[in-house]
Amino acid sequence: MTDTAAAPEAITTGPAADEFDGADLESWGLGTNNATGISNNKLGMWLFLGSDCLLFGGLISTYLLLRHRGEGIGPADVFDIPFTSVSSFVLLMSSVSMVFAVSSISRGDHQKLRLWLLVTSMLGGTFIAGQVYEFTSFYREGLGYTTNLFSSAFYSLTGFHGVHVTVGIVMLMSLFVMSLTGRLSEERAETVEIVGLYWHFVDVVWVLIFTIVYLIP
Amino acid sequence: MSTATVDTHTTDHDDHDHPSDALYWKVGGMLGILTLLEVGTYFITDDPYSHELAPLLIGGLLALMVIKFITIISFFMHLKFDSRIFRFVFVAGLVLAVGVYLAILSTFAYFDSGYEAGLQLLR
Repeated sequence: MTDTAAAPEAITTGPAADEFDGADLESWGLGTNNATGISNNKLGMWLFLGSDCLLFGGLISTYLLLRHRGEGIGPADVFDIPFTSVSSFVLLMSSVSMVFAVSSISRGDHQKLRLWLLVTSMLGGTFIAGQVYEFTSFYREGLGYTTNLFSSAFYSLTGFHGVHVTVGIVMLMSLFVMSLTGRLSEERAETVEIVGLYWHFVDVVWVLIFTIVYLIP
Repeated sequence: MSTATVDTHTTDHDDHDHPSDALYWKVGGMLGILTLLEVGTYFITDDPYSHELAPLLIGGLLALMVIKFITIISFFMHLKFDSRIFRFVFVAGLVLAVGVYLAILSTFAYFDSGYEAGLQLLR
């Protein structure tokens, strides 16, 4: 019992708990794994992205299996490739603006960071608006979620991707607000980089969806 | 184990040089051009499977997709410059996903006739 009671004192070498503000992770030994020299937070995001490959892999495979199973309306009847191409280009450009946001914070340029975060969010928002328009027009043409197997697989795949983009926009706007309120210092540049990783992943998944679902119907 | 001992075993840092902004613009421009090439195939035919150049069109589209995928994860996600551990973690997930779902798709293709027969019964 004596050993157990003494353990917390032996382990806790950082500042007292009431002094912890969440920003100084290094002094708590939480930011970096000393054995590997890499950031735990970044590794966590990469692990999440690796597992997300399985989610989207499952959705894309399901779509490939079911796309020609349904009766009635099919991909060729509803897809508007020029419109989706513009949406894809917008999302691709949002990846470019995101790398500039990461680049800006690493240089300590907070004004440009906020600009690029806003640009990325707006491009992401434009993509989502395009997706909502696309879904609405498909629905008006008679392609509901349960119309046939193709429609269920299509809406599930692109809908899940849309949710990912929306979550990304929320994260970008959170970073924007944090920067405005002075809670995003240069020491926390990695936070922007980690959100950037998520955003680029969402983009890279759309690269696959655009080719597999839209261009090779 | 002392802290000094742990530090001497540090082998793989993620302190790295990110690409310059000029390189980001170049990569972004290249990705834009590749996307235009992809979309250009739609104006040749909206059904690549039935076109006489089907293998070229479909193969080209898949190749462009892979090039864009690798470019984004290498440059924008810094996988080319970052720790090899990140690369391993992501590629492991990717390879697992591709392997598992290719196996599943192959299985469905193999038993496809059974699936169709099942659908007929349901009707």
